[in-house]
Amino acid sequence: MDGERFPDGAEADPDAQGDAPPPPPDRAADGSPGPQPAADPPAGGGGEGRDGPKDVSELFDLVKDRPCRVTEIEGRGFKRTRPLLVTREMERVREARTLEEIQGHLAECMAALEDLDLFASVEGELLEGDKDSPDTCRLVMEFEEKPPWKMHVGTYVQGHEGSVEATVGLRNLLGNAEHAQLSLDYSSQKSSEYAFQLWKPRLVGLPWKGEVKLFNWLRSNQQYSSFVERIRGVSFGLKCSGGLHSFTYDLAWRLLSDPSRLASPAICEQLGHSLKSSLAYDFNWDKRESSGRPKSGRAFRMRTELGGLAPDSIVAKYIREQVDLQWTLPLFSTVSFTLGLSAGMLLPVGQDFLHRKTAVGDRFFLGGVGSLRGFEARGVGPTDARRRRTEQPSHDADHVGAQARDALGGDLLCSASAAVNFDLPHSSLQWLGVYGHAFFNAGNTMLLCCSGRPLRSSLQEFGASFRSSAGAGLVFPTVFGTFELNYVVPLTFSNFDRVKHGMQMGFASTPFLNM
Amino acid sequence: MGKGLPVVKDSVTAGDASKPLVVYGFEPWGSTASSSSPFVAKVETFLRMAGIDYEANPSMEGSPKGKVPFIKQGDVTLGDSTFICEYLKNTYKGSLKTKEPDTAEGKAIATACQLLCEDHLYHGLIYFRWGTPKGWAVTRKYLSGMVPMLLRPVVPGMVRKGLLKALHMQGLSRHSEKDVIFLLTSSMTALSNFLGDKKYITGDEPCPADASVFGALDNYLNDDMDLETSRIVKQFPNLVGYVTDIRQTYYPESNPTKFKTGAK
Repeated sequence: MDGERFPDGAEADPDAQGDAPPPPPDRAADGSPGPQPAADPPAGGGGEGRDGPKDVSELFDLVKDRPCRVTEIEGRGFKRTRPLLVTREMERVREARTLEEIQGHLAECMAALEDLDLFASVEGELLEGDKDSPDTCRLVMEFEEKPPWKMHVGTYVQGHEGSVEATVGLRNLLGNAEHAQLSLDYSSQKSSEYAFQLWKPRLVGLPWKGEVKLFNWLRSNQQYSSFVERIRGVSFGLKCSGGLHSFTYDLAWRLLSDPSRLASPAICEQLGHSLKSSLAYDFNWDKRESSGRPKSGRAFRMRTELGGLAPDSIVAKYIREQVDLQWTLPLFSTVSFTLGLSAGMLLPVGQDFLHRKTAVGDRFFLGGVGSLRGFEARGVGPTDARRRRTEQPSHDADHVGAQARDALGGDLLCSASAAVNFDLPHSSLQWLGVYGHAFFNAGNTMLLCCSGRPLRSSLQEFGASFRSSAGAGLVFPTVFGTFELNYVVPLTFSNFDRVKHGMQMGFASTPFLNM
Repeated sequence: MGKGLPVVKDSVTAGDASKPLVVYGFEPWGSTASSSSPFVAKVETFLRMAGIDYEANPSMEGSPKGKVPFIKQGDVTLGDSTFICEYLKNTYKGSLKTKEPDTAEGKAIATACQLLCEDHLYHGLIYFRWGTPKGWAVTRKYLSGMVPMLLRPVVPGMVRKGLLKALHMQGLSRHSEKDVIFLLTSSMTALSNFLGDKKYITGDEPCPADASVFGALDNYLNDDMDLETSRIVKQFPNLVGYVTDIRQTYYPESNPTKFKTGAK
C-alpha cells in the first residue's frame, strides 16, 4: 500500500474572499516547519502598484492570517503501519483555519508521530488545493518507517554495582505501533534481570502508553544485608505521554534467601516466600537541563504505592510514599546552588499497624555517594548483628564476611542535600564536563514499626539522631553514570553507622531505588 | 575448590529461665495431639512432661536454621529439637519433672529409640505424606492455608520438590512402596520390642526419649490421612496403647495443644 487518500469531511468555506491569491507552496520538514524558498514565486502581490515581497518569510507574514483549510491529506510510504494510526494524529490539522494555525497543528502532529517511535523521517508538504475551492490546500505526508528490529548493548554503574545490559526489540509488530523488547541485565554483584516488555504508545487513540512486562530479577543484597532476593512476576503500566503521570500494577512472587547462612535474626524473619501485589502512582515533573552540570531548573517526583492487594489476610497491606525534590538556582557567573530533599514513609495498614513488621524489600536505605555522602552505601540506619563465631578469623576473600552487621533499612526516611556547583578554572576540564562542588548532606532513616517504643518517642529520636556530613569534590558525568570524587567529613553519626571519613569516591546512586 | 561448610554459630546451651519461652512450629493435622511435625511435637511433649511453662506460635518466620521447631526465650533464638531439649535441660535444671534413665542400658535404649524415630521413621512420614499422591493431595491443602492465594500454584510445588529431592538423596524414595513398608515395619517391630509391656520406654517414668517416640508415633497414627503409616503402627497394640496413654496424660481435653489456632 503506497499512497492513501483520506476522505474529506469538511464542507466548502462560505466565507471565501474574492480576490485573494492562492497560497504559495510551503514545505514543512521533520517537525520544524519554517518557510523555505519556494519553487515558484507567486503571481501577483497583495496590493496594486507595489513591488512583490522580497522573500518567503515576508510573503508568509502577508498571508498567514488569511483563511485557509486543509481539505485533503495524503500519506505515502506505509509498509507495515496501519494508516488509521496516522489518520488519528493528522485529524487535528483539519481544524486549522489559517495558514499559521495549520503550521502550528502540523508541528504538533509531527511531535506526536515522532513519539510513536516508528518513523525514521516524516515530511509534510502543503500544496495548493482544487482550483474551484479557493482557500484550500492539500497536505502530502511522506513517511519513512524505521526497521522492524532494534538492538542495544550498554553498560552502566549505579551505586556499588556495575551492570551490562543488552536489549533486543521488535517495532511495530502488527502495524499499530506495538513494541516488544527482551532485555537481559547482569551485574558485578551477581544480580541479574530478565524482562520481556510489550508496549504501545497511543493506547486506543489516547495519548497514553500501555505496557506489559514479564520479569525475573535476581538481586543480591548479600554484601550489605545478607540476603538474595528473587522476584518473578508481571507488571502492567499506563503512562501518559510526556511522562508526567503513570500508573503501575505489579504482581510478583518474592523469594528471599540467605545462601551465606550468616543473616542476622532480623533478616532471618524476612526470609521465605511472599507475594507482591501493589498499585503505584508516579508523578514526575522535571524541568531541569539535561546536560552535565546542573545550572538551573526544578524537578519534583512523587510515588505513592499501595501494596498487599490480595484477598487473603495473610498478605500484609501497606502504603508507601516517596517524595523527591530538586531545585537548582544560578547564583553568579558560572556558580549554581542545588538543593535536594527526599522523604519516604512505609507503613502497614490495618489494626495494630505499628506492631507489624514491614518487608525489607520495601524499605528505604540511606548512605553512599549520591544518597548521603560520608557514609558507606547503605551504611546508615537500623542494623542487626550477623551470626558469626567471634573466634573464627575472617577467612574468606568474598565480601559476605567483611561486615559484622546487616543493614535492615528504615520505614521513615528524610534526607537533604545542599551543594554549590562551580566550573573548574582549567578549560580542558570544562570541556570534559567535570565540575566541582562543595556540599552539606544530612539524613536519617529508622524503623517505626515493631520497634517496641511508642510512636512519639520514635519520632523524637528520629529528629535527634540526624546524621550529617560536609565536604567538597569533583564530579565527572560519564556515560556510565555520575562519578564523584570527594573529600568528606562526617559531622554527626550514630553507633553502628559505617562512616567514611576522608576520600570517598563512587558512582552516584539514583534517589529513587524502588522495588 | 568447593565452598565447603558454611560458618555457623555454636548452639546456645543455657539461658534465662525467668523469661517467657515461645515455641514456633506447625499446627496439628487431623487429630494429632500436638504438631504435625514430629520434632515440634517432641519439644511440646517434652515441655509438658518436664512441667515447663511455654507459649506456642504456629508460624515459621525467623527460624535460625530454616526449620521448625525453634524457640525464643529472651535474647536467645535456638533451632533443632535436640539442642532445644539440651538447652531446656540446662536452663531448668533442678525443676524438671522428667528423669534421665538410671542404668547404662536404659540410656542406650533411650538413645536408640530416639534415633530410630528421628532418623528413620521421620523419613517414612515424609515419604507417605509428600511423596504418595494420596498424601500429597491432603498435605497440599494444609500447606495452601499458609500461603497467599495467588502464590498457591507455585509455592507448595516448590516446597514438595525440595523435600522429595532431599528424600532421594537420603535414599528412602529410591525403594518401591512395598520395600519402604517393609523397612518401616522392621523399625516399628524393633520399637515395639524395646517398649515391651512397660509404661514408658525406660520404665515407669517418662524420659526425654519418650517425647521423641511419641512425636513420631502420634503423627503416624493420628493424622487422619489414611496412609500406610497408620496401618503399620496399628499392627503393634503396645505402641497404640502407649500413644493413647501419653495423649490422655499430657494432652487432656482440658489442656489441648497450644499450636491449634481457634480460627481454623
